[in-house]
Formats: sequence, structure tokens, C-alpha cells
Amino acid sequence: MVEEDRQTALGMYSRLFDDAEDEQELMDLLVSPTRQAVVIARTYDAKERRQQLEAPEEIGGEETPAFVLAIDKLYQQVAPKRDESWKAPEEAPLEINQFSLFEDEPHPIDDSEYVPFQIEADSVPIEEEVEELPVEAPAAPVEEKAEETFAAPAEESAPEEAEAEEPRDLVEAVLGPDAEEEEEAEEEPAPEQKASRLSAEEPEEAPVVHLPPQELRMPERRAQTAKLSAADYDLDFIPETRRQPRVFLLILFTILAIPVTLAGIALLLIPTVLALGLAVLVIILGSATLVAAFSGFPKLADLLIVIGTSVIVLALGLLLLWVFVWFVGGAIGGLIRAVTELGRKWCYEEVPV
Amino acid sequence: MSKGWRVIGTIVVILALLGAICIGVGFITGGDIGDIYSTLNVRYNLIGHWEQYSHWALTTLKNIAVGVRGLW
Repeated sequence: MVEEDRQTALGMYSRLFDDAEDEQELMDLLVSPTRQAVVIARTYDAKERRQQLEAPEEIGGEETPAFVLAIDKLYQQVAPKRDESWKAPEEAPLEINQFSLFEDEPHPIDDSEYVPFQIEADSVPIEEEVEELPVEAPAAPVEEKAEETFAAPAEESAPEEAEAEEPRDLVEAVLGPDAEEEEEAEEEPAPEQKASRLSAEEPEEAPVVHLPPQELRMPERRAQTAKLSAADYDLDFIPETRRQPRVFLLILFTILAIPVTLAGIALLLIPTVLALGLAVLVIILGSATLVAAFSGFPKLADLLIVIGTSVIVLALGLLLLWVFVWFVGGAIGGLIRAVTELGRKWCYEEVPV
Repeated sequence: MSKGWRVIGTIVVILALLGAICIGVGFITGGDIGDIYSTLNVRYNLIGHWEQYSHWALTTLKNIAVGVRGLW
């Protein structure tokens, strides 16, 4: 935003507060600083405005900017009787450290100067703030917000509905139809909100329940969450699928896998047969030694040595026999299973039924 | 398959320990390798069998070497 336009807007808002007959009505009309920032942002074309300021004769003379008209409409609503005294404020001198709404440069903190609107608008995300706009039902949150943002006394508890609706229509007209639809969608109040609105309209009969806006919107959000849980987050739902072969890949894999597997099996057969031969030989040797031990050793000590040796040899034979079984069932079978599993993984895909 | 390894390993270790204990007890109680060898040689003719098998192995190796040279 051009700096002098920003100063103009600030001056107009300041004059608006000065000339407002009913300050509460004005705050209801403005709703929030962020809303006003959105109003100005939507009516403001920075590029075109710069061109207007730099070379007004090319564009056809300097005409009243749209944001000035938007603020002027607000003024017409709030202080129509003083309209004759209304005019755009004179341009304030620019300061070097002036804080700008649409610039990302860091602003040095200067407590001596109060800059309304921009502080709230920059510190709060616009979408979040816009969500809070429909909290019109209870009177108290509006008052609290007004105290925070405008530092204005909240003497009247509930706004008059008829007067408040008309200015809101004006702002919605400035915001455009999209904003109006969004706001209508958000302004669908929860039952509690409706009750609060009714109580706000009849303050003499029932006391207004002062609830913060977050709590007021909680049932609405819970309802949305429940809808999402039911429709989109059904964890028990498991889609039924079937395996469909990729024919070309399957043929290619089969052609390559068969010779590779056969070569692997042939390689594995060498240690397998070797283990089997050794196992048979060692078992025969152990058995023969065991038989010989009982055939004619005169001393028990010699007999124990021969029996011990034959038991160790038989244990070794048993181990070699198991190695043979492992080669057959584990290594060769594992190779075939691995190749099959690989083909199933590469050549098939899961298709929902 | 891992369970098979565990079972077979346990059996092999038990048998090996048993054999080692037997051999140890045999040596402690006066066993002699020379007596065992002579007894087995008398009964099974170990030296004769050894010479016979070694001669067969040498002859086989020589034949294989002659066959390999013939291929060249």
C-alpha cells in the first residue's frame, strides 16, 4: 500500500471515531480491524494507485480511490449529520520508521506513536480473524474485542439488531459476494448461539451469557469433526483387492528366472552332495569303531577311549547329515521360494475389485 | 529350520561332551593308544588296508594325470 494512502485511511478512520454519534454502533459496523484491513485490501490496487500518483494525467486525472469511498460509506452510516464537515484528512508527514500494512520489513518498536488497525491486522492471520467475525450473537465478546482493539468504553451491553444489520450489508457489499457467502456460511449459528442471540435481543428478560467465541463455536466444530470421522476416517474399512498379473513382466521374469535358479541349484548341489558323502562316511566309520569297541579290548580304559572316539565321530556324522538336510530344504528350497516371491512381487499388482 | 539347527546342535554337543568324558576317563584309568592300535590292527588289518587304499589312490591319480595330458 502506498504510504500516503495508508495515512489517508488512518486519518479517515480516526475522523470516523471522532465524529461517530454512537461509538458502539461504529464498532459493530467495523466488526474488527482485520475485517477493515480486508475491506481496504480488496478495494485497493497498489499498482494502479502508484501509476495514478506518479502520472495522473496518463490515466485521466486523479480520481477518488476506492478505499476512500469504502470508508466514506461507513462514515455515511455512522455520522450522516456531520457529513457536510467531512473531508479527507490532510496528508500527514511521512516518518522514516513508519509501520506499513503490506510490507514485510521489520518495524522498530516505537511506543510513542499509536498506530491503530495495523498492529492487529499484522499480528493475527486474516483467515483466523475472519472466522471470528460471525460472533455477533453474544454482546459481551464484541465488547471485549472492542476494548482490546479500539480501547473504547463499552457502555451498552447489546447492539440494536436493526441498526447493526444495515451497516454490515454495506461492508459485505464492499467485500463482494464471495465474502458474503463465506460469512453466511459461518453465520449459521449453533443452537447455543441462537439462544445467546435471542437473549441478546431481549436483555431485560434473560441475562446474556458471556461466553468467549471459541467456546461458542465448539459444538459446530465437534459436529464437523464427527462428520469427517464417519465419512472419511473409517478405519475398519478394508478395500477388497485381487492380484492381477503383469503379463509382459511375468513372461520376462520367467525366462530369466528359470536359468538363474537352475544355475543356483547346481551350485548348491555340490556342497550338498559333499556333505551327504562325508556324513555317510563318518557315520560308517563311527559305527564300525563302536562295533569294534565291544569286540575284544581287554582293558576297560581302552574300551572307554574307543567308545568316546566313536561317539564323537557319530556326532560329527549327525552334524554333516543335518547340513545335507539343510542344503536340500533350506538353501535350495529357499532359493526357489525367494525367486517365486520376487516374481510375485514384481509381476503382480493389487487391483481393487 | 532354525529349530532343527537348535535340536541337532544340542544333540551334537551332548554327544561330543559324552565322548570327551569317556576319552578322559579312559586316559585317566590307564588307557593306551598303542594297545588300541595293535588290537585293531590284529583284528581288522589296518596297515594292510591302509597300504591297499593308498596304492589305489596313487594309481587313480596317475591315471587322471595321464588322461589330462592326453587331452592337451
